[in-house]
Amino acid sequence: MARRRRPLRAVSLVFVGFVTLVLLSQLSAHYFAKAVPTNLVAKDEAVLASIRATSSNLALASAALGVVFAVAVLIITRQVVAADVDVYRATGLPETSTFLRLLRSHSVGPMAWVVAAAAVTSLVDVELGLSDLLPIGLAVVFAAILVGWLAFLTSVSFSHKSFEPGAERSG
Amino acid sequence: MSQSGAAISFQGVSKAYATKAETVKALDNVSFDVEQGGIVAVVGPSGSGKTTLLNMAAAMDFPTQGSVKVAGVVTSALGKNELQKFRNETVGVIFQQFFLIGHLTVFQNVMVPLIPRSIPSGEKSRRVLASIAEVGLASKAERLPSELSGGELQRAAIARGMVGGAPVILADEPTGNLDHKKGSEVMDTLVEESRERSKTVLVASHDLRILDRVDGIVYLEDGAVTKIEGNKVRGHGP
Repeated sequence: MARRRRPLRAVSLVFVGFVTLVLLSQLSAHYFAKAVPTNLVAKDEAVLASIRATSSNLALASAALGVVFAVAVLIITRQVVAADVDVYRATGLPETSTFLRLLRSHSVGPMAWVVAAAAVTSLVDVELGLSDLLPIGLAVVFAAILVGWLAFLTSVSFSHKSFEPGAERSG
Repeated sequence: MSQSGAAISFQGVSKAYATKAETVKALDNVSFDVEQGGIVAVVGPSGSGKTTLLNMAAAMDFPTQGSVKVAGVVTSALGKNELQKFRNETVGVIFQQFFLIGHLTVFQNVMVPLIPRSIPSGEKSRRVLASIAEVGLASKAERLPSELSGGELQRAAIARGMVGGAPVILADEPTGNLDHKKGSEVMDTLVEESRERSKTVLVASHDLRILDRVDGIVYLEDGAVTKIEGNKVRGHGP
């Protein structure tokens, strides 16, 4: 059985990867801080604060990198998804119906993985006293980007006055 | 009757695309009528405007000048909802590069035109299976496009173009990717639609082997009609 060609599933996997990376960034700093000898920390609380600040920066950098990478992958896969939208339009499907079909066929399932990854990360963060809002915020941003992107592609196709499936358009 | 009784009518149709460097004229004052039930070929070299012409008949593109009338409807006068209904019910389009949706099976791809229809799902499935069987793909209904050969992809695209029962079928290079035998089978299907179901079929092609299977021929070159011959099609004016 051949694999179904769903490029946005790959995008969702990228999202999962970056949520996990945020978790790893936080955990690495957390355990590194714990590994610092107690007598050293007691003498210099600034060392611990510095490690925690680095942890936050690393997690934020991972999140930002994830957003940039996700946007890049969405742009790369644009033509494939846009061609599907054009075919739905050519066969007379309404715009809303097309958008919902795109969401259902490409994104909803995989986005559940992102939410799951964000939930696990947040639970770990709560347990360890880390910033649990970061992974949740990241998952929300990813979901918004994906839904917004599909809405944009659908809108561009349906407002277009000619037909060239998947072609680059200025919008 | 001129255009009024024709299933497809092009009246002084021109189409220009503006690029940054220049304005390209894809169609230049094209006028002809195709009678209902006719199967007519539009032939010409690559870039002669065949696909643009078919896209206009499908209301996927619109003239810069002139008018296109299909099944009595001027396409450029349609509103958003009417346009969707027209594309869904009046024309069945078979695309040159198939444009099957990659993550859908053959069955699901052929089902797409029936999605907006208000008919029971059992009836939709029955129609889809009948359409797939008609093009000889019954055993491959659950396959993905990536598992099909070029000829099978073409036949799946034909099944999708015909499943809605549209009175006008528009086929862009339907034999372009096929060997002679398979191309001939595809033409058999289109001719059957025309002869037995009285559908109007407009075929764009540069495959001259199909010319003895059609009622009429429109020759296109550089976006302009150079000659019209045969039955079921006629030009306008001198």
